[in-house]
Amino acid sequence: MNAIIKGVDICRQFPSGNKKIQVLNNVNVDFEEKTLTVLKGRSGSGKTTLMNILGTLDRPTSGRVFAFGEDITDLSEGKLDEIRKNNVSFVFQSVALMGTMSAYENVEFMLRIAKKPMDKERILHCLDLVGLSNRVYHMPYQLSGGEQQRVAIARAIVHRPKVIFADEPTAQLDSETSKVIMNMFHRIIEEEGVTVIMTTHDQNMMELADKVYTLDDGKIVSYVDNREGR
Amino acid sequence: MLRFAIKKIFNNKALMLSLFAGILVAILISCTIPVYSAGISHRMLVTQLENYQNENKVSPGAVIISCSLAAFKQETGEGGVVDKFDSSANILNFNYCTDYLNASLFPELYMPEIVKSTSLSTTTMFAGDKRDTNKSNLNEVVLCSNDKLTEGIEIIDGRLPSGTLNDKGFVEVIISKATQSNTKFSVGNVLEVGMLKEDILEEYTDTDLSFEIVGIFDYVSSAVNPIITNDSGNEIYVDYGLFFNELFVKKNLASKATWYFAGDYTKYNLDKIKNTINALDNLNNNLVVWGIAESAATVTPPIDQYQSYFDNVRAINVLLALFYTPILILVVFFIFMLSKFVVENDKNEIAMLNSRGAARKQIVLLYLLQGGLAVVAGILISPLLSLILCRFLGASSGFLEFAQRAPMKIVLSSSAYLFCFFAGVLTILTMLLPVYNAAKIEIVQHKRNRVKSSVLGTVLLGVLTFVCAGVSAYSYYVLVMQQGGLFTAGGSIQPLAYVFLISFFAFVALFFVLLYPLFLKLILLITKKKLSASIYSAFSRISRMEIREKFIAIFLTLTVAIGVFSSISARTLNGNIQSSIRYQYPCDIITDVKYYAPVGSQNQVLRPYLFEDVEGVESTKVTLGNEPSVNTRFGKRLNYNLTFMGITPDEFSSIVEWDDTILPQPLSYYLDLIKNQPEGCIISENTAKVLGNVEVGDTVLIRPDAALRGMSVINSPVLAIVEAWPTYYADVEAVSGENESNFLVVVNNSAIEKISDNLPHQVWMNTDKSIAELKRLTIERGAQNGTSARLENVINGKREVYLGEINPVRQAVNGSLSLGFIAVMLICAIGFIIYWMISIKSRTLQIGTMRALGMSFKNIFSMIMCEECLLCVSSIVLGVGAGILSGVLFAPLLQSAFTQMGQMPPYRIMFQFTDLIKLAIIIIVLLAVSVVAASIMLKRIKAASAIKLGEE
Ligand SMILES: Nc1ncnc2c1ncn2[C@@H]1O[C@H](COP(=O)(O)OP(=O)(O)OP(=O)(O)O)[C@@H](O)[C@H]1O
Ligand SMILES: [Mg+2]
Repeated sequence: MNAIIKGVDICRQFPSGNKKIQVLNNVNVDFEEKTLTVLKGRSGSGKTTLMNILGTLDRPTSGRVFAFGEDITDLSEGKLDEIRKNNVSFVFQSVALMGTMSAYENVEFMLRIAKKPMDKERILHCLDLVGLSNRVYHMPYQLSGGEQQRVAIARAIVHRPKVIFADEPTAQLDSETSKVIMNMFHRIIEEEGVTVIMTTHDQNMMELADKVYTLDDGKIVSYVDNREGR
Repeated sequence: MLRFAIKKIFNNKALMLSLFAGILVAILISCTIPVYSAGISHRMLVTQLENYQNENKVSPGAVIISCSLAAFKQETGEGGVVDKFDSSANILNFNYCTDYLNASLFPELYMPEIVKSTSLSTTTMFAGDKRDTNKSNLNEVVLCSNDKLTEGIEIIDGRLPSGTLNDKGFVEVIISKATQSNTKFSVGNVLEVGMLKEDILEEYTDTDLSFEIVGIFDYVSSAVNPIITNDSGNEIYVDYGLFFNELFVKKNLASKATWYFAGDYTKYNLDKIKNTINALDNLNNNLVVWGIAESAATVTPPIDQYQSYFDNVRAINVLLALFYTPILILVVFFIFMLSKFVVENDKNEIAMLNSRGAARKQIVLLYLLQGGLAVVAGILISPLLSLILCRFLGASSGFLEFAQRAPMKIVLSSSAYLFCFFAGVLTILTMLLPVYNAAKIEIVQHKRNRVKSSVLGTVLLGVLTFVCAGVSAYSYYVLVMQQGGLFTAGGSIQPLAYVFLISFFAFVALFFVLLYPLFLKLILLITKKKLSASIYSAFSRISRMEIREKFIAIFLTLTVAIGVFSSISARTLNGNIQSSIRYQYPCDIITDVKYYAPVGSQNQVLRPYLFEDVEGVESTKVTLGNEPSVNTRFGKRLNYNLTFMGITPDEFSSIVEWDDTILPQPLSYYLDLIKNQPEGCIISENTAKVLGNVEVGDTVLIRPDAALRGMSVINSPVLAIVEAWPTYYADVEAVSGENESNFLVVVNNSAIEKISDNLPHQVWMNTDKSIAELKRLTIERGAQNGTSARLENVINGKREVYLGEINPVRQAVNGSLSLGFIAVMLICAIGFIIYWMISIKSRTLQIGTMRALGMSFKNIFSMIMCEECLLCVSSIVLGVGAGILSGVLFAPLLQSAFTQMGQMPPYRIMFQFTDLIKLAIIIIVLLAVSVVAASIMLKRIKAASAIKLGEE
């Protein structure tokens, strides 16, 4: 199996007062290249925490994270910055666009950070992919929540990262649009060769995923590979 | 509710601390203004009246009437004329006079009483010990009494005298230490007192009175009654009541009465000045009517000086108000900005409270409590702090210079508390305004409204900018072109001056906020492709200035501009006063020497120079000429109002102190001209004009002495035409008609001596000798040279320079501008730091996102620094520019603030580079602090948790 990202025995504790809460408990996950994997679970089950650890934003209390064939658990902040800049990108539950930049500029901004050429075609293409070709020069406050989320997705793919982490990207969208987004993810997996890891509550989304991990109380309780049935 | 408010304050420590500091500074400044103004006016009074006190040895609030009772023409009371020699007349007169003073004079002074006393004394008599029967050891004494004696003395031996005759029938008395050592009397002596007739002590009454010395006294150091402390060493003090009854009523021995009243002149009620003047006139009339006008020694308060003192106080207060106005406006703006920041910071919380159904009233109340706590604390602390601050400012010897000086009398007046209170109330109101607005808007609505309001806001801002520009230009035009000065005829400041200052600053700040984003957008457009992520995002953020950025930009621009404005105003006032003094008094002493022909002699008056080789005196002769005149070959002639000055260039240059920036060339340049071409002359601009536009190189004919024969003329090429010269400046007042101007021509003494070496002259000198010494020296030297010479019209430059340094106007301006500068920098610092704290804090999500997108800590840090440069550094630079511009525009208006200083050299606008350096240091420190603070705050932001924050 060709795992592009892999978490081994991941534990994460958070201090809470003088107690410690065990949010993740010996989690083992791996993600295949060019697939769409969904992490599912009840609110507070530890999805975001796991994503943050896999996506280099957070470090596990114990356990190891492997990415792109390398153990990245103990890499320096600087090295992690490099990985974030080039290889992974995020779509957050909170939309987090740059408020003073237009949709176009927000997408362009990612290219700036990654120091990739700011190709107008590419930016427009990405915005087109998320269905925003008629909202290119709108400012974030002129966009609806869902539109903002889609700009964030365009931003996440524009510099051709290897992995996209999407934390409940469809939470604010109606089911129609959510489906569109899922299909779009599949399209970019095919077109761009990326790997998508996302979390969701939405039962309907599960069927559109390649693989589904279910988290409960910091533990992986089930694993489904939808492709087997296809 | 209160608990919740306190909890909120503790949850938000750093922000609340800064907010509190801001409120404290605001209240402190408001409170300091009245305290400081009062301190300054008081010191001014002291400066102005201390001469009076030194010369007269009495307080300017004192009335002293001292007269011989026998001098009264007649009985003054209403009981009709009594025989002057009737023993009761003196008592009637005395009582009448006392009643009159108490009822009609002292209350009319309108000063709170400090001391009031009445003294009675006998004529000089002789006293000897009773046991000394042949009266071989008699002493001249005066029996006296004063109703307030015990307040000014302390008994060092024995005790106080009794108010009645003692059991032996003696009058008990006390004497001062001086009297004791003069007379050798001491405690226990019983004295016989009487007149001396042919060397025999003659009893002065039918009944003997014996005086027993029961005590020796000394004066207490805090004695305020000069009537008591005026000790001739022959006073024997009797209890006042006893004196009055036994010596005055029964024996008519009192010959002299002295009434003394000292009021607190610092509390004089100027509104009553007419009454006071009337009362004093009335007193003088009465003294004449009573017949004691000549014999009485009277001292009354110098009311004319009061008038000018209070005029000065008013002028200074007006000036102070002018300087404080922009600062106070800034303070209000500052508080408004702070609370706006706080509210914006709490936006989510407010929305949450809102959604939980909290009424708007409750939210406002919550903030009222929060602000109220800070304000109450501020009101409690700031009066004390302001005392300390004023003490510090009271030592100001120049702008931002503090020297040890006699401390200023600083008291917390009721107006200080009043100011303090109002500042507090204003602070709360200002704080609540943004809260009130925020409390009604829900978050969603807020977001939607933004588009509309930003367009509308820009239009409004543009209109406002133009209005401000128009108003400031118009008010400046009116001030400069039409009214020609800062002061109204009544001596107060043109209200337009405030309008100008405020609208000018507002214009600059608004213009900046309006144009700067456009400018940045333009740069962004041009350089877009090349910018790194951090610089790009900084540009994008600042070029789309949000309300908070606008506020801080306006604020920084204003603070810095006001700081620089203060500095320029202070330097200009100081510098011009300084150089005007230096210029009017270029050396220690300038004096005329008047020579008189020996009595009875018909000889011509000889005027030898008497100050050659005087030890300790460096001097030069400045020839004055005698009705001098100048004419051109073409017949233009000038022989009035002409200052003729014959100088010896080398000596002149070593004696005269001169500010070389006044003229286009340093003084030495002109002196060299006249030294190298001794027959040449230097003339003033107006002289050149009156002589028909004479130019350098033309020759004029100078006749230094009208009495000399026709050939005594210097044929003199004009070497230079100057605007000013030591002690000379064309009279500013006389601009109306040329005929009234004063003119100047300067020539070399050596050229004059060829015609006559006996012209009237002045002596200019630098010396440590006193004027009295110099006068004596002149008489001696004159005698040695066979003339009688006197110094006249002595101008004491040293003293004038000293007086200039302690000039209260100057001190007031320096102190207040220093205060302004410090205050402005303080709130600038606090505002700046708060802005950065809130700015970073409120952008936690954004910064976290950026980190997640792959920007390194360094990238983010450089983004923040770049924002700081774009926003703050540019505001500061603009502020400096605006400050300089406003200072330059405004400084000429300040000129009218001291035209009363007399002659002025060319008025110049001054700026001290060190002030800019001080400013730069403060700003660099601020930037450094903000860099450190920013990096600490940024380090704390963890992407994972930052993003989580945004989820809510
Ligand atoms: N920084 C933190 N400190 C303390 N506890 C934390 C922290 N971050 C997360 N937790 C706790 O960890 C648990 C899991 O949080 P996480 O955000 O991963 O849940 P989630 O599965 O993403 O939930 P949701 O579906 O609501 O987003 C929660 O109970 C939360 O309280
Ligand atoms: Mg989550």
